[in-house]
Amino acid sequence: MNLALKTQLRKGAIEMCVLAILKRADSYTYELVQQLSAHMAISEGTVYPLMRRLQDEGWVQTYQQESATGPARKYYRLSASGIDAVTMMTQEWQEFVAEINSVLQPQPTSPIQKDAL
Amino acid sequence: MNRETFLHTLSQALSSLSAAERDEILQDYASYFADALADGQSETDVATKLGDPVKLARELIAQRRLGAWESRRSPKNLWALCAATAGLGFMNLALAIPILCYLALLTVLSVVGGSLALVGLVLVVLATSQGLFGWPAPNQFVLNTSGIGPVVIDGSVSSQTPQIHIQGAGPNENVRVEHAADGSVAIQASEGSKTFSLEKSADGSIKKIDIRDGDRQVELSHLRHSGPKTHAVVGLVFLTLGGLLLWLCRSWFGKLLTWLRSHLGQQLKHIQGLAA
Repeated sequence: MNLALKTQLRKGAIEMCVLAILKRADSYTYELVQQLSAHMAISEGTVYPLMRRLQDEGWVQTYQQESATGPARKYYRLSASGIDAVTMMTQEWQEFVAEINSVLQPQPTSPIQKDAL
Repeated sequence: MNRETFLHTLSQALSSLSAAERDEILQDYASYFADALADGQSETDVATKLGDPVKLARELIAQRRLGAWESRRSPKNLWALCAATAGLGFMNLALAIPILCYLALLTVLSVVGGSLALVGLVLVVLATSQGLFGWPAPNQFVLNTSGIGPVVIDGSVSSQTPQIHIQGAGPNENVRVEHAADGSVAIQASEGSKTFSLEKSADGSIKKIDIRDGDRQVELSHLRHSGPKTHAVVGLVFLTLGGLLLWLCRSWFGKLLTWLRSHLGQQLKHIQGLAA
């Protein structure tokens, strides 16, 4: 049950995570996967379809850049609307987490009530 | 599975995409392999982590089909999308078939609506032209509301003076033609118990047709001649009905599209964000 919830949450949040990484610096697929998989379990094969979808949304653009190891790599960079999208998502995410936390760990709001107990 | 097998399997599974799309995807996965190998991973490890290339290809195809359909909403693209999504196991064909039937129904309804509106428009234009310029002559085009044959027939042929010539071979066969004072004509032909009679009004239109054989009888009476006014009224009714039908189809089609987009988009988001 716990695992299922975590999977659901991850599904919803992975877009935001990719956009957040790209907000810090442009990147390419392998590097993105390494950064994501360092912190969370992801299916590496689905990152390409995910990037494709972000491109379709107009949040991410691509460009080619020479690499030291081999042929030119496809780099991803955030577009202006991508920056807006990730800013909004991050804000919504923090509000959501705060809401959930306040339910899970209720803070005693009234000192009188506390004394009465 | 090594790099070559992975890319080959992926390429095979993507064969329904265009060469350009397929090459782009293959190049991306090839460069992923290059980066991973440069990072010290083994080919087999990378292939295992990337997952089943056939499954991956299904997702990629479904994504392309969704994109194609969103940019051009043809039944062909919708069918391709339904098939691709069915391949993913998210939408089975049992759901795709009713959607396509609904789509077919909407298509038929829009064709009917379009035809009605077109006929209505022609009639209104005709009536306006008759009222304003006297062309075409009232009998040149006659609205045929019998439901048999073309909707508009050329009335000028039937309004010509009829040449009736009947030869009787027996004593009971006779033809009677009566001209009334108001210009109308009644024609009756009979042979024994069989009679055929026809009444024509002064303007050339047929008022009544009566066919009898003993106690069996067919009578068509109160045959009205359709003039510019009838044309205009019928035209306006057709135009309104056709327009309404087209508008309804458009709105129902829009609803179907909205539902499909959200349904399929959601499914695709699900699989793309899917964790290992």
